Amino acid sequence: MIVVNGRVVPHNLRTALPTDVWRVTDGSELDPPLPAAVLQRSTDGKVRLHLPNTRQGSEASAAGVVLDVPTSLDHVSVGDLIGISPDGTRLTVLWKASAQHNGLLLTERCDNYCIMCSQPPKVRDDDWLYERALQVIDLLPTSTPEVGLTGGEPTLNQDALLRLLTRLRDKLPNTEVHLLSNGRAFSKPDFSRRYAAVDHPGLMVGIPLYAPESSLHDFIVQAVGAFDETIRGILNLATLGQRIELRVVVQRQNVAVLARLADFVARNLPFVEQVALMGLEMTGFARSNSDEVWIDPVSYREELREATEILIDSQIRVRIYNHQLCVLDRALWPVAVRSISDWKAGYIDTCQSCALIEQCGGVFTTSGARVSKHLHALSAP
Amino acid sequence: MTIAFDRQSAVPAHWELLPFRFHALDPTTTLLTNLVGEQVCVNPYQLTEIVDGTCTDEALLAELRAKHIIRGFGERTSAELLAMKLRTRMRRLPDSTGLHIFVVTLRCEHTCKYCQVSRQPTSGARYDMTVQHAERALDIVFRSPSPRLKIEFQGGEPLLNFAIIQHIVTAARARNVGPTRDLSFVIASNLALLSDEILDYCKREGIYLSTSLDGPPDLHTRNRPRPGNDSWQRTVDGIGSAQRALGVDHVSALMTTTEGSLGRVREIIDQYRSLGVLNIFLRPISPYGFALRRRGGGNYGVEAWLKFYEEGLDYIFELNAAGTLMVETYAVIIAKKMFSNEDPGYVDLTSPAGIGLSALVYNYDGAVYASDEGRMLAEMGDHTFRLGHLDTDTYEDIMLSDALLSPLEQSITTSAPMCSTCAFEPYCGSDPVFHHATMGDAVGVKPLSAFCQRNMGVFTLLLRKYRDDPGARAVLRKWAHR
Amino acid sequence: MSFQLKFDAKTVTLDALQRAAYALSDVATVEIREGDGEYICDVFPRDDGSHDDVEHRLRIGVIDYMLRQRIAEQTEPIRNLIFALAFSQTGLIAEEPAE
Repeated sequence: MIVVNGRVVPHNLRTALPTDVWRVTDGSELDPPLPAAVLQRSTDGKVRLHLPNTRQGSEASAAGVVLDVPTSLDHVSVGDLIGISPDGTRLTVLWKASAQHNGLLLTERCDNYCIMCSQPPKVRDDDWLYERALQVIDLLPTSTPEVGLTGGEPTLNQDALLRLLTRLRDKLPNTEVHLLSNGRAFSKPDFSRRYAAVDHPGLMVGIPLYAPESSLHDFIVQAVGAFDETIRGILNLATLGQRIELRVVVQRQNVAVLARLADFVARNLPFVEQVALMGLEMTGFARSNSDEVWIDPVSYREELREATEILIDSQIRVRIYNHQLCVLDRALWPVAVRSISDWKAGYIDTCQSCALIEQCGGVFTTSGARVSKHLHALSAP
Repeated sequence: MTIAFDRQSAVPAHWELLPFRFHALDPTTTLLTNLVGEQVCVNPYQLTEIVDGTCTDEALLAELRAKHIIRGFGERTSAELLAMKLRTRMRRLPDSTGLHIFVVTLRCEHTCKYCQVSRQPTSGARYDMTVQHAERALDIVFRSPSPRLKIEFQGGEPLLNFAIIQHIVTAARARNVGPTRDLSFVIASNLALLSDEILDYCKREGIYLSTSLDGPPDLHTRNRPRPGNDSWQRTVDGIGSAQRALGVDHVSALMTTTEGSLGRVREIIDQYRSLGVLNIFLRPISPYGFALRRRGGGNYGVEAWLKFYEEGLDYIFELNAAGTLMVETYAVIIAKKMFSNEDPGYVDLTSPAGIGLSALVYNYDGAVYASDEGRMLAEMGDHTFRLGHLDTDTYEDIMLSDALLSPLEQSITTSAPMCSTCAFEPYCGSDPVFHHATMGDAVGVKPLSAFCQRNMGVFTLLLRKYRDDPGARAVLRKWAHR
Repeated sequence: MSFQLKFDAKTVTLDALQRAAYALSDVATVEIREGDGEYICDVFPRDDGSHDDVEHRLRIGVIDYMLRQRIAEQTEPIRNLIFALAFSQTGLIAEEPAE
């Protein structure tokens, strides 16, 4: 597990830092342009970040700002992008160059209220997150393979989102952009058209669908009318030729109708690019609603296998996320993906002797003790 | 965090019916099908409660909502999804005519008992199609709007007039310009006359070969006499040569069922397997041509055929479970209509019927027929389905002829008695030629129709397998999306 | 041997009765006439021993066709809407389209 937020100690800082997002470099450039942050590891093991172009004071020989980085954040590496608060005391790792998947948080507001939400919504004005994301995009190399856009619900500020997507199209046309959204805003034809007009070839929207009919889906997302809006949004996007992924979080409430949901997708939404069947992250609302949502994955092996087969037989691409190989039916291993972000993936003691530890994505460290009771080491096949 | 509203609050208080039909599969099971053929099974009491509005089984109501049999009061999404599915099912309707059958000669050296063609002996060029007629026929082929055009050569034995086949292939390719169609060619041959020259030609031009293989040697040879009585051997050799020259996927075989076939379906399927032919079409015998006149092998009822079919299908499911991916073509066609939104447009199972719209037949003498069976009826003296002649008629004359439009209009199942209310209607179609031949009119009386009985038997069988047998269900699902 | 059945014209429609009779064509022919608030059916089974079977099928058939009629009446407006949607220009779906 990797920590991404922490406190740093600034030295030589007299005025607010000129920018929020910084690019971690190795100091080999003579006079790196803003906003470079030079990583320094001293022989005594201390890690520091030197912000060379932030001249402080009027002295000609004034050094730039230096930040002492705590051990929890000493994984910071060259190529990473970091956010530093204006007063130089808080650091957030926004982008890890070494990570398979990086996501940019665009807002913590949401108009759904899913009973198993691992990132409970907050009601506050956080439009600055879009600004920060724009800065990140400006610093990413064009070879960046993938950018995730997450929330909350990113479509709540339509103008800011479209501006961001347009910037991605212009700066990173070869990058896969994976936007996560509940899809409801796309039920409005105007917004759908504006979204489609961005025309980024790598743009795909991942939309959750938890049931084959409204009563269960609306209950799970705690919003009456959500199912209808989401479906209409999906249909509008499809009409406009947009790439769509469906995401199904498998939990106690919908396990019994998983096969029926697969059937529903196969008959009604066959144009989707893929379906992701996902395991629970037992944190946030999922933890407080544990009784309603938690189910040991071993209990739904059959249902998951059938739903997966229905989709595969219907020629729809399927991926299984967030499930450990030892709790999955072997037949499903080819579609299981190591999906848990590096910074929250972990393994328990039992896993250390597992022959497949490299292929398996492990568990959510954020789930704490709420993981399958049937995790066990597998021997080489 | 407390959950603001519970599951029950999200359930719509009332529901409205969406268009659906029902059929009693047995005394305790009633099948409900929606506008596009999706299925739910209920018991008879539940059906009344659903219509009355008194059903309290929330799990069933949720299933009915998911399957678009009912909708929550005032909810709109289901109508939009049904419209989309309907549009998908019907999108190939404007793409007429996909299959064009050229009867290049009536000459043949076999004397098959059930031959529907009333073939002529091998010499006699007056039974061959002329170049002028072939060219006029191609005029009509390319007037058809379909983006896919399949030209099928039949006879008699078409290889006896190989020269005209070559002419037609060349001429068709030359005409295939702006917009180009997906053009394919099939020769339906007994393969007894296959030569290296012919195989080379087929390989160069990408032509498919289709042949008849009725089963094991004794069955095949008894059905298909030939001077020398070596029909089976010739067929098997022909299939082998063709597969080697053209590839396994360019060679297909069709079987015809006779009385002698009943009780031997496993042997027949094994025969196909042994030749590496993994597609079999378990067809019923048709009432046309010599078969009807001589009643040779056509003397059995629908029940006996259904038993034959079920046994064959069970064996094929067994084979699939063991890893041999054998496919039964009729079940594939129906599985697509039952378990996907695709209508495969099979000529004998569409509404409106496939006559003219799916297929046209250009006979060796220049006459144009609405279907293969329509031509066979003409050989027996009944010219009801003759649409015109290449010497005198244009595409418009043929496609707008009363001979075509009248049975077509009657063939729309949503207007036919009993078909319009039948729960199986989305899977079924019309066969006006069959009904005309057996009952005297294009629609027939469904309770007396062998076509109806047979198809209802197959639908019931496939649905039962889908519901009760997980192995069969997986196979049917795969077939539905081939 | 023919037999007669009567149906109350207030609870059964002629249409349903005719359809049910038609569906029996494989086992019987039926002549229907109206009289005194009733439909009188003279049933002629093909097979002498099948009286009970034929009567049962006719009664069940009438109930079924009455039910089908109810469903058809209730669903005619939405059916028309679905077909209209299916054949309209492929536009985007707005939030509250007119019904």
